[in-house]
Amino acid sequence: MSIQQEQYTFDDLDLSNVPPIQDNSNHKLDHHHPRELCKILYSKDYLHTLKIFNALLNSNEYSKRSLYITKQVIQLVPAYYTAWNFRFHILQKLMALSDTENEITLDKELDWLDEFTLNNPKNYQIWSYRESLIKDTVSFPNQHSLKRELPIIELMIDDDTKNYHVWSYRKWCVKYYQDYTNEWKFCDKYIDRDVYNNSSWCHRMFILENMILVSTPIDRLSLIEKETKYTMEKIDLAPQNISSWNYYRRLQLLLLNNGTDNHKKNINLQNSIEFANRFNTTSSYALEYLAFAYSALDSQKYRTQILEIYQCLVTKYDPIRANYWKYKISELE
Amino acid sequence: MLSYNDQDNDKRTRKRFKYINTVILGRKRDPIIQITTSEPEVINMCKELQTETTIARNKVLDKIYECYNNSNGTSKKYNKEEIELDPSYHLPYLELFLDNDFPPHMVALDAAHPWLVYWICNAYRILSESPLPPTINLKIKNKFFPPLLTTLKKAGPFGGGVNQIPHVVANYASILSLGLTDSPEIWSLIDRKAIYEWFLKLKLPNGSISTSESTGEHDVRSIYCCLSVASLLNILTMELVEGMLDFLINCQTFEGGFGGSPGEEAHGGTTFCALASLVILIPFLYPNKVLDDFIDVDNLLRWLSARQPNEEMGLNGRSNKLVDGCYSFWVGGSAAILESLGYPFVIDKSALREYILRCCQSTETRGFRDKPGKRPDFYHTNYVLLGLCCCDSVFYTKDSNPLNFVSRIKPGNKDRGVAAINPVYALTCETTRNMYEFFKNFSN
Repeated sequence: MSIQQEQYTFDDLDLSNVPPIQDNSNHKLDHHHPRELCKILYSKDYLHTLKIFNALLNSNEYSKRSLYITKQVIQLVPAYYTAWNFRFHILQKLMALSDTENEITLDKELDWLDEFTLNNPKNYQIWSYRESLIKDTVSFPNQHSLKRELPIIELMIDDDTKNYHVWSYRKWCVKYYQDYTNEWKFCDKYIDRDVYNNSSWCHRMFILENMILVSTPIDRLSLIEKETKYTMEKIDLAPQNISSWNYYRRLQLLLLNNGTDNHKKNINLQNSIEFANRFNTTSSYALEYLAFAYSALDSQKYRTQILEIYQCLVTKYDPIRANYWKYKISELE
Repeated sequence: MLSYNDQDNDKRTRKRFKYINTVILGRKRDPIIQITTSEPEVINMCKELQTETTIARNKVLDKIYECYNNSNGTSKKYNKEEIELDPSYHLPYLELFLDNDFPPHMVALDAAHPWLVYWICNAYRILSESPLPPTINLKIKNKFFPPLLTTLKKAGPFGGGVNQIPHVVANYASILSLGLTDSPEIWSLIDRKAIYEWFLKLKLPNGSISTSESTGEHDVRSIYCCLSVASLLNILTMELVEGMLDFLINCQTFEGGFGGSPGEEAHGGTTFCALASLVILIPFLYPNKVLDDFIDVDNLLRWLSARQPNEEMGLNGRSNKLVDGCYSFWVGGSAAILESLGYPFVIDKSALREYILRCCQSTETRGFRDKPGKRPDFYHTNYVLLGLCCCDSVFYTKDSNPLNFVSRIKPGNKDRGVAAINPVYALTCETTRNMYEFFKNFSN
């Protein structure tokens, strides 16, 4: 096996020793059987590639030519998870070989994966495969770092700012490497670009809740206050924004659950009511927040205000959610 | 649609809006400017900042308003005759693919054969308002138990196609497809024991389960696909579900819905998976407890209802994302599960029905689509139809066992081609109950 992995072509492959595979597809069925349901008319190329792939897979051949074939299958059908799985096993075996001229390394695989990712932005097998590679191919445990992961993540999110799989992968990385230092800046960038991007607000909450876990009560308080100020500015910018209001509501809940000073908690709530009232004709989410804050203060004392808000939402501002608002009204009774 | 208040209504504003519309947004026709002298029905609260989110949404809204076919484009009030589902229009789309092969470009779905079978056959089952005919049942049987094998033997767990490794999500679609046959003879060919032992091998220390060995995703989706199958086949055990409840609870986010893993953004699909999983798990683990003992149901109701904007009337899957017909089931089905448990149905059923019938189908192509401007596909055809079933039904239960959840088509419902579905399993109540009756006699 002297040829390099990248230089293989089908012509170079010696297939004379590929073990035969039992063809259990339905192609040769006699007339008594109905035609296969949901049968795909494969191209010749695909059938050829898959035949070799299946032969190597079924004989558990963890070789460079197998690695080559997995790439061919993945390029034809990125969602072919069996090929990703086989590729993972081949890499594990080949990387473990203590070959000084071993050209198969985690870094090279990640380079290829980066390129493949950029060409297949919607595929999500990539991310769990990447996670498995980093976690389980431990031939060079300290060589890899978060730094290697950040550029591809950023490129992908720049291109598709709400891509669920990429944001999830970023969270996994941050937790895996226990490094939260790049995250505030990262969230700022995408909230500045689009204040309605809920994925970046949620990432921000993920970072905040982690920071809260590891900080002292005083730091915790100043962190929440700093975030409150930030969020208020963003609400000012675009009041009818569910993302910033959900974040704001969560911050107020964190304040309510922090410490024991009830007087201070009431002042916080009163301030938030004063803030939300500024948007009582420009944001249904502000109205919803007001009802929440009044209920948190004293749902008996402010019953009239709360009722009035829900009734406004039912009749004027957000009638499509009437069933939910009426449910909230019924809870008051 | 750009909108603004009366006080802004001067020439300069008009010019600015025209500029934004033609030069920046590239709109060919002029925006419709509505000057509101009396109070409109719904007060538009958009003091909007133009960003990628609002530009994308406004583009979609334009097309949606065209579907709702009203002349002034800013009010959702339209005068139009009532609309009803016509199953005979869509059935040929499904029949075509029940009888013919797929073109070569469908190879992209070569690892999703069981999904194709489930989407097409389930949609066909619902639209045709009757159990699948024996010819289709035989085709399903042959798909999962290939007759080329010398003797017909039990099979399972299942993968995405021939010679593919077993996969929890493909296995889920396989069991649902086999369920659709309503045939005890076919059901008895499912290798329950092999599926159970395979599930145990895939369990992870964090309580979730991997979709396949060594690589694969592990999130609320893989948990749901495992639990749904395990409860249908009656192979639920304490050992199998260990750790799952905590994992699921930790996926509820501050927004109210559930993310795929703890800390992730709330999403329609993952919220459905988590809620349906909880509804399977809780009665099994704690027969005397209810959902509210484990998660914040009120915040979940709040989040579910917030998926339905007044303008689109259809459902989106996340905050500030675009409406998509498939969430009629992922979100609508979640609301249906909660209605089964006695909570109010927090989605406006008749408004969602309008979105489905006016925006998810067109006279150009049969089948259902995500939104106006998109092409229909099998995935959307199935989940939009399931969503329509949610709109046309009421859900209840006398029994905490989710296999016995029932729904009844609403009196006065006008649509033909809808079925009473069990929202936890995305199958008809009839099939779910049949499977329950059949598998309950098997011991573990």
